[in-house]
Formats: sequence, C-alpha cells, structure tokens
Amino acid sequence: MRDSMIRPILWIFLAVATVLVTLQSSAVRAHEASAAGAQRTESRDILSPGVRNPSGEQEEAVAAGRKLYKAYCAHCHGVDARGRDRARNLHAPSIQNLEPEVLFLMLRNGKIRKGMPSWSRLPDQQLWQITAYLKTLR
Amino acid sequence: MTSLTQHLPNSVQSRLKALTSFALLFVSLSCFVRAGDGAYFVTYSQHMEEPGSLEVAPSFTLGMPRTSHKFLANLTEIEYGVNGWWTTELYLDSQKTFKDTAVFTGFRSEHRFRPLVNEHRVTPVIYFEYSRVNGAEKTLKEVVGFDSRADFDERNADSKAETKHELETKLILGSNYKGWNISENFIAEKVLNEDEPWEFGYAFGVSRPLRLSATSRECRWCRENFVAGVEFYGGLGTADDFTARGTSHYAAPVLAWRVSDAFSVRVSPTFGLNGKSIPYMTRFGVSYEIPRFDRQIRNLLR
Repeated sequence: MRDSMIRPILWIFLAVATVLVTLQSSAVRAHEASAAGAQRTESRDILSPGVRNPSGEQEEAVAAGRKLYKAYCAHCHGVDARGRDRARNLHAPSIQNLEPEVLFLMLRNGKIRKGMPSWSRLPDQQLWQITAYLKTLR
Repeated sequence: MTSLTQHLPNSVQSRLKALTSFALLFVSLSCFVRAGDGAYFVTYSQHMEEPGSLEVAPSFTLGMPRTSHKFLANLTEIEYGVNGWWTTELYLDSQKTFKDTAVFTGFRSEHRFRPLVNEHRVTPVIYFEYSRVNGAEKTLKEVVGFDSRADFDERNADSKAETKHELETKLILGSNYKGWNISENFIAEKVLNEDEPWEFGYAFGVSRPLRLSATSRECRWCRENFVAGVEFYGGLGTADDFTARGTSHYAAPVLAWRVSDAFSVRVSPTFGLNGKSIPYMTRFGVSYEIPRFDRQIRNLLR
C-alpha cells in the first residue's frame, strides 16, 4: 500500500478514536448526572434547561402528544399503546411509575440495543408532549 | 376500463396498464407509509432509520452548468433500518442530459453505524459506502477531491465508458441544540480500480423546524410540519494536495414539508460559490416511509 494511502487512513482512525474517547467519557458523566437527576422527583426542568415541561398546559400538551404518538409510536406500540411483539405495553406500571424526566430521556435516547429507536430528531418540546400523553395512560 | 381502452393501440394500452399499476401501488403504499423527516440533500445527520422501517426517497437535481447542457439527475434512495444502530441504503443513479442521452449511471450501497448508545452533545455516526458508478454520474451526492463543472462537459456516450469502483467513508457528527440540528460530515473517498490518491470533502448543515411544539389538531400547513435550513458542501483536494482551492463549493438553502403522515417533499435551490462550481442547481425530492416494513412482510408471508 502506498504512503499516500496509509497516511489519510491513519489520520481518519486517529480522529475517530479521539472523538469517540472524548464522547464516551462525557457520555459516562452525562449518564451519571441524568441517573442522579432522575431520582429528584420535584424538579421537572433538570434535564434540558430552557425546555419547559408542558405539564402546566396539560390538556393542550396531551392532545398534541396523542397526535404525535399516533404518528411516531403507534406503529410499534399499537394505537392502544398495549404493546406488540417486542414493543412494551405503555400502560404497564413499570412505565407509568417512571418520572416524566425519565420517560423523556427514554424517548430521546431510545433503547437502541433493545430495538427502541432514538427520537432525538423530534424537538424536546414534542418529546415532552408525548411524555405528557403517555402519563395519561395509567 | 378494458372496454374503454380496447380500441387503443397496444403500446398505449400497455402504458395505461403500467400507469394504473403505478397509481395503485402508490395509493396502497400511501395507506401505511410515514413521511421521512430529514431536510438535507447532501449532509447526513446523526439520525438513523427506525428499526424495521423502509424509506423510499427519489430525488432529482436539475443542473445548469454554463459550459455544457442542462441535466436532470435522479437518485433513488431505498433505506432500511436494520436495528437501532445500523441503517443500510441502496441508491440507484441515473441522469438525462438535454440534447444528449438518458443513462443509468450506477448504484451505491451504504451502511451507517452508530457506535454510541445514547444521544450526546455531539453524536457520531460512521459511514461506509461502496459504489459502482460511471463517469456520466451527475447526482452530486457529494463533492470530493477536485470535482468541478468541467467534469460535466463530456458527452454521455464518452463519459459512461469509464466505470469507477469507489469506497467512501464518512465521519458524521450531529448535534441537537434548542430545536436546531447541526451536522458535519468529513468525507474520504478512494477509487479502487484506479491508482488515484484518497479524495476528501466536507458537508455541513443546519436546520430547524419552524415551530418546535406540535399543535393538537391535525393540520397540513402548521409550521411544525416545515423544516428550514441551509447546507454547505465542497471538495478538499486529495491526499497529495489537501486544499479547498481548485475544487467546487456549494451553498444550498433547504426546505422540507411534511405533507402528511404519508409523505414529505424537499426542495433546495443550490448556488455554486466559485468558478469551479455549477452556478445554479435545483434539487427536489419526495420521501415515503413505510414503518415496520419487516412486520408487514412477515404478515404477508404467513
């Protein structure tokens, strides 16, 4: 292999490795912070400063969340949210007992290894609206 | 229908049948498809296809190089989410040059991998692509090396004789911040069947929905259904001569409209930023997403 080929490959791998290591370490810190934060039941804006949990406008948020749920979530979890195949029943206590912040994080990050995609493509406001709707399923 | 068309010539009848079949396929697909959400044409964001979902997204580029004839290039993208961290795509390329011929220019097979489980301030995605395209390819899916508008001067009959096997890698970095998506792509490409150095390129995009929270009513024209942004892309020379000079660069505002749960459309007027670039292009595309395509196939086979 010529030198001209080896050099860029090395640079690319070095750059990728540096980025991944940096991100991984910040990921661990962020995970620890969010795990600690999820246990704080009173504070609702701890995860995304500036993002308002729409619980103050509950009816409007729930209605919008229902619409978003139908568009993005119902294909896997079912229109009734009772779950299908590997997708979980969202009425289950194990989901309904979660704090809104934890549900919000689950939507944003997904559970990629278990088949639940990340919905980070949706703005935080819409994720909060879906969260508000999910909390009405109890 | 049959009685109405039986007096028509056979060729017209067969075209009508093909059109009817296409319309039926379109309508049946529309019953269970969901619109894709991306706004960019060239830049990749960190977002992956949902597991089991299939997206079909034909897009077109109308180019107006001053030194050669206008062209209309088509790139049809078929994207499938294998799982949460692996998305695979097949691209089919073709083009029609005005006052010249229409040619199929090749295919690309790509894979995107997301190495980290959670979303971070900067989320990386690793991209690999193998492509077998000929020299008549004009989709400008990316710009690398010293690509310039002079590449479009040759007639199709001459340029399509040259076939390239290419390996392309990208480091995709994407962030979401207060509703904005900011994505950067670093591209390295190698022609495998020729003794050429690695070629480099970049793409950078920023986009945001016009409204961040959703309204409670079903609506087509709500601002939340529109995503606006801008992308920049261009070449960065080769391993022998790493430079932004002597290659082409583009700036392109993008607008995506989620028309319904069934499909979305995108449009992007594209402007060349230097003398090596095609001065003006228009890109437009539609995308259909079929959620849980895997489940639908399983149900069909039962």
